[in-house]
Amino acid sequence: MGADKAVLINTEDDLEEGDAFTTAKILEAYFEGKEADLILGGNVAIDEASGQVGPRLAEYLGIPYVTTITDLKIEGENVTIEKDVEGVVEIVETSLPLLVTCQQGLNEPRYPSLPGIMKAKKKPLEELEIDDLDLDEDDVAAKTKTIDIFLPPEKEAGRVLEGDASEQVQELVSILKNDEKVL
Amino acid sequence: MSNKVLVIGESRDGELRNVSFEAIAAAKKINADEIVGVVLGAGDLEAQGEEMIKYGADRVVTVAHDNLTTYTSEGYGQAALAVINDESPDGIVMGHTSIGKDLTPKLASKLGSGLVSDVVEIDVDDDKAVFTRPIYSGKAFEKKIVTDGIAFFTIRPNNIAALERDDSRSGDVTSKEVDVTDIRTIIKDVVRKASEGVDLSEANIIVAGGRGVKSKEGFDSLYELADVLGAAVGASRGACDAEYCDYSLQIGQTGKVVTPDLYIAVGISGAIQHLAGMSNSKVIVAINKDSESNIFNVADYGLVGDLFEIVPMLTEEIKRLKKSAL
Ligand SMILES: Cc1cc2nc3c(=O)[nH]c(=O)nc-3n(C[C@H](O)[C@H](O)[C@H](O)COP(=O)(O)OP(=O)(O)OC[C@H]3O[C@@H](n4cnc5c(N)ncnc54)[C@H](O)[C@@H]3O)c2cc1C
Repeated sequence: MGADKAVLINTEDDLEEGDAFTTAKILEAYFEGKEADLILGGNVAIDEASGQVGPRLAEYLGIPYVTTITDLKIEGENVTIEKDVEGVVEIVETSLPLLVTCQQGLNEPRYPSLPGIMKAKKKPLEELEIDDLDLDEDDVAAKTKTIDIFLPPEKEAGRVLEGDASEQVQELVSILKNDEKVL
Repeated sequence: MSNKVLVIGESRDGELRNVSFEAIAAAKKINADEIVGVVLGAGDLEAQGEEMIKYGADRVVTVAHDNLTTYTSEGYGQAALAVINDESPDGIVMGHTSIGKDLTPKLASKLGSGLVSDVVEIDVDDDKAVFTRPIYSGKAFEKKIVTDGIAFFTIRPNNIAALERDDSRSGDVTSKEVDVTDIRTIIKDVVRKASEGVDLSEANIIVAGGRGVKSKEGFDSLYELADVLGAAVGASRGACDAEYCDYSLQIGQTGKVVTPDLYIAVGISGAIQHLAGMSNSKVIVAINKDSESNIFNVADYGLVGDLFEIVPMLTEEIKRLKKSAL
């Protein structure tokens, strides 16, 4: 899709459980000394959905961060950002180095092209383990623990209301008012 | 063992958001024996402090500074940390809002503490707070504890009921001076995109439209329905992509996560990414012309039919109901 180099930090053999702290600490160790001008991350993961890694990493690296951005313009050291804040767009001015987390709408990801796929085969993919980052398990031990995972109770099948539109509407309003008491 | 819990309030247009009061209730749930409210902002914050006390805080610390007029992680971070360092709390609670999501990981990093985000339920087991939170877009839940650091968590709005407001409560509201400096991110401008009205993430009732609504004008009838219900209007990504409405209304995996008492999905097919944002709503009503539509699998009540016929009828019926209640 366009990256010149990729790095895989493989924690499979070393870590049993991790949390946002673990991930951010490992990334910190990787970025240390690299002096990245701009770090782009996702705003929230689909699985755990904590949204902590970006801000934590920026904090460890001592650089400012802006989360959930929908536009990014860089001129020299100066950065102008549009940030999505619950129905409001904030125009943020800041400077590099910087970490941002991306919100839907920032860009349309391009599709990998065939020549792109061919070229990607020649691009370097570095593989590291936490040893290579001078970290050991204790340095990145999770600060939270999951003690249970469960499925929500199966929802009772809903009711499809009968009759023509006006009968359905009348029944619905009566249910919402008298049974559910939400009106 | 004493258990002091800090509740970091959040205000909008000079008034505390309801989730801040819910956060006070959450502090109670982890058996706080002292709840200290924190109000950060500019100007006179006394009234907001008093409000936190009426809702259950024992005392409140305010930090006012011009650099706290609009939220920045750096400004609020400095102010909040100054209070946290003074108080050495055993726990911290904040709403899982834009600001809460942005600020709490920074504070947790500074404090070297674990943090559990987006909590919807709280239990206490053997003196340890156990937090329940949705994972995999609400398809499953996990119970989490903090193993290193303080009981630091954010709560999803509309899930933990605020305590009853009690006018007879009193407590100290003290202000603390913090020199908030060296801000590297500056908010130049704030552009309001969503129409004024009820805040989506805290709304009790949401009327949401999808691609089935077919046009910007089609959304007008949703606004009329929302109006009579005192509801907020939301949308699927399908409707946002088609430019029937602004992205700020989007509900779902990449939009807002909402938990209203009543969610009315109009012309929305119920894609998994949409369900991620609303499936925990208390009562779900679906209006869709396709009886096979997936939205009916999560709906408590389904109306199969043409939304252009049903929505105006529903608006009229509710108007009639509200009138007769007068
Ligand atoms: C990574 C990713 C993230 C995503 N995030 C989100 C997200 O956050 N939120 C989100 O909503 N989606 C999200 N999506 C998109 C999602 O997959 C669906 O495409 C989208 O939700 C569909 O929107 P819709 O239900 O409005 O449209 P459609 O699927 O087109 O459904 C329209 C519905 O309207 C009904 N209809 C049509 N005309 C009428 C009528 N006259 N009367 C009654 N009913 C009628 C139809 O029967 C149909 O069920 C995401 C997708 C991806 C890949």
